[in-house]
Amino acid sequence: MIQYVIKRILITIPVIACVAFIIFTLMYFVPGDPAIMILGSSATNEELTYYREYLGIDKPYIQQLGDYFYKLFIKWDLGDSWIYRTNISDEIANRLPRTFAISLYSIFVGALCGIPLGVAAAVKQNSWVDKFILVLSSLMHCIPNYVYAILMILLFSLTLGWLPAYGIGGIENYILPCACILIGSFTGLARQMRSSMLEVIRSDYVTAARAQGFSRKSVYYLHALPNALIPIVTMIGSQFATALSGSMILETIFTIPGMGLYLQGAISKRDIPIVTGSVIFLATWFCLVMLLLDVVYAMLDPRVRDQYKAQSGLSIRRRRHSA
Amino acid sequence: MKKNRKLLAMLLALCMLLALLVGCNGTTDDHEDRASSPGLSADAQQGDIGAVKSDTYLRDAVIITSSSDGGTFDPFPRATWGSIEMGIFQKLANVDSEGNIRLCLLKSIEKIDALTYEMTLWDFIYDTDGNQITSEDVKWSIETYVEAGNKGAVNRLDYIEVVDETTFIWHCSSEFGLGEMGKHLGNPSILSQKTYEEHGNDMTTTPVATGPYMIVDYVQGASFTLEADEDFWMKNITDEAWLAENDFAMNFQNVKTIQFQIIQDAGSRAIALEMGTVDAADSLSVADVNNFIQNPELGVSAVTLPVRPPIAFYFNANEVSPCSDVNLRQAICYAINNAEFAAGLGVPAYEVFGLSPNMYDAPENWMTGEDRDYYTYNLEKAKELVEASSYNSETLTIMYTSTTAYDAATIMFRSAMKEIGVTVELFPVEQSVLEEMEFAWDKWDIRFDTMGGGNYLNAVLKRFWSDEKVDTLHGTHIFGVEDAKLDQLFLDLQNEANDSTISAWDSYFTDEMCYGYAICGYFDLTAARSDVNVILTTGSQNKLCPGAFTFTD
Repeated sequence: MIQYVIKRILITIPVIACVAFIIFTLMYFVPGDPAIMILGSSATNEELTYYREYLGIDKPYIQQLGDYFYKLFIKWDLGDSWIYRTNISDEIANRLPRTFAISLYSIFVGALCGIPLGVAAAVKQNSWVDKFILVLSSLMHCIPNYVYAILMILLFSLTLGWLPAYGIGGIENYILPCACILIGSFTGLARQMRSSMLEVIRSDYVTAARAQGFSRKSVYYLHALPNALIPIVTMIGSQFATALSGSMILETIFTIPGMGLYLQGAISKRDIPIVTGSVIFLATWFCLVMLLLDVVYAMLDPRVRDQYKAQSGLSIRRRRHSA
Repeated sequence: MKKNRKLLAMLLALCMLLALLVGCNGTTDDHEDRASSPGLSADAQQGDIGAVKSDTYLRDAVIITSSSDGGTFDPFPRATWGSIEMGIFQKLANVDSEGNIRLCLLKSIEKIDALTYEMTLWDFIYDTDGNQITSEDVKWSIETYVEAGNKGAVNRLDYIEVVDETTFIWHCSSEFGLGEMGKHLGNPSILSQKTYEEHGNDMTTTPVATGPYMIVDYVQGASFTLEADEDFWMKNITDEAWLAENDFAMNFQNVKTIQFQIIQDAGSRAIALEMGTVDAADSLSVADVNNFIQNPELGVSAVTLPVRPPIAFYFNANEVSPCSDVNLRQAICYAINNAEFAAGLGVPAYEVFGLSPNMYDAPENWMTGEDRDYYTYNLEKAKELVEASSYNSETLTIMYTSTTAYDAATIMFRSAMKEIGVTVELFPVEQSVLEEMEFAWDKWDIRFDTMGGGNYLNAVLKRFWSDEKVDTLHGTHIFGVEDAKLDQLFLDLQNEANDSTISAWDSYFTDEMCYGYAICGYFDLTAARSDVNVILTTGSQNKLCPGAFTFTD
């Protein structure tokens, strides 16, 4: 298992290198001269030439790519913002915890709400409980999270005055943004949990467990639920990885200076180092989250664990054989 | 079961239909609100001339929203903090809202000749680190400012010659045009080189400077707090005559602590104001401000700052464009109903009758329209001119950056053009793309743009002067043709802006050649809690100056 994890970590390096290459190349060819963007169209040729040299964008593509890879993989430096001259790593370090906290809390609570609802709907299939949960989750899933944001601000901030409408600070500042994200999270999880649970409930081994006289509770929660959770883990993982890129709209509404706003501002101002640095960071994070998911699968499903071991063992046997 | 499903499906379909009907029937017909909102008028602006300085703090703390996130406090890159004057950095001099130069770090300026000025600093200027500002620091600050890509702001400067610790000679490469000296003295922030080098990257978050306020806390992207400098050097100035002539809002310390909350969404700023968690907010929407005016129990007063330069457009007069025909250009201008545009813009707006009526030296009738025929709306004349032109049903491309005002203006423009049989397509572009496209003559025919950027006409009209671009690749006007007559008229205006030179330029540019046209200007909306007595503006930029606020309590 450890060998498998190490192998996955090593595979991440070429993945990140590919991402870095792709994003650098895309930003290289995107329209708009950063020097003109920063200095304005009234800048003289001399000023533009000087600034392009200062930014390093006067060099050929290959040289720029080489410099960038050197800074990224050897010096571990994401660079400085062209416009603000602030260090990108420091900025990400400042902003990521906020986006991370919102993502983590909302998805965790969303899972706590969504999984039991899905199980209840599956267990009581075709009853009013099932229908109610289905209809409610469908309706709530259709409404975009920024609509919830506005409604919640109107109710909880403006009318009742219970919670702040914007900014960062104590835990009360994170309640409304988390609530907006978790609604989308738990509704999707509830529906997925329901269908996953229904599929598992119909399996032979569950029928066998019932036939052996196990109670309904132990059949559902000890036998069916762990198997039904596997697709849920995938969904939670991808929701978390996606949420880390930051909901730009929610961060704008709630004025949370997180990754979403940072990236959005950089794209519109053609601050290319921020765009490339942020994308590479998020790609790295995504790879690590996927690795974590695989480890969780292994913990949940012994068959997957054995498969990983076999893969690691197979590669070792191949090496021994070829030697 | 099947019956239940059918019922549910019908119920859902009914809900969707209802939602559709409600959405379609919604109207946004608030023209009345836009045109005649109580309390919203140009007269409501507050001027820095009325600023009141207090010897003691009038309030311990005040909280303001900042609509933009500059991202850095380093004074040399081109970060922008929107319409707020922080009071952290100081310049050699400032320009007030009447266009007068008010000295700040400079004690005196003496003109030696047309290109040479002897300037003297106060000899007790210290930053919050205790380092004195000397002539060497001035030279270094301005050179660093230029190297950061701000040459355009001090384009007349040749070099600075240091005489002694407090005296230096400013050498110009060419004479200052009207209002340009204020721009040169009022743009570069002056810092101690020693302080800047000692603090390094920390200057981006906790800058050290000579201003009345210093940053004590900064959470990037969220908020920052300024505190009044107890040892502010200007407290030691005893020359009452100098103070009477030069001291004003930007140097006041009426408030001990100013906290800025960075809130980029206008709706959120309005909510913060309504909840009372902030004392003042800038750049609000019309709907929110109307709400405050119509509901005085909310405890918020609205003030307008006529800070926005007019929405205007100019033509691509290059031969590849149909707009190279002056008849077509004039026809387009006659087809625009400025009053309707102002009413339909979506923000409080005012008609204009000249390219940049908000400049200090612009003729008064560019704002009032008195005795001025500025292509007064005339559809019949417009149609005649279209007939007389070489226009052959080509589709004209309007290029612009997408903002609330431009989106509305270009859509109205397109509707207006339909009435005279001119087909128009909209081409919104991002700012970065606009910079590249503006000299691609085959890509656009009309360009919408604001005509701002300065205090005097020459700063704006310079855009239409070929020498402005002579150092670049383009070497021609921004509207695609060389026009030696226009260039000469501009040079005459640059040398001396008076009624005659302005009139001559305008007559040729507007009446004869119709290269460009301004439609209307619009207001920036600011509001404050009712106990905040005055919102002061400063300089020609009309920025909030919270250090100079006064209060009713």
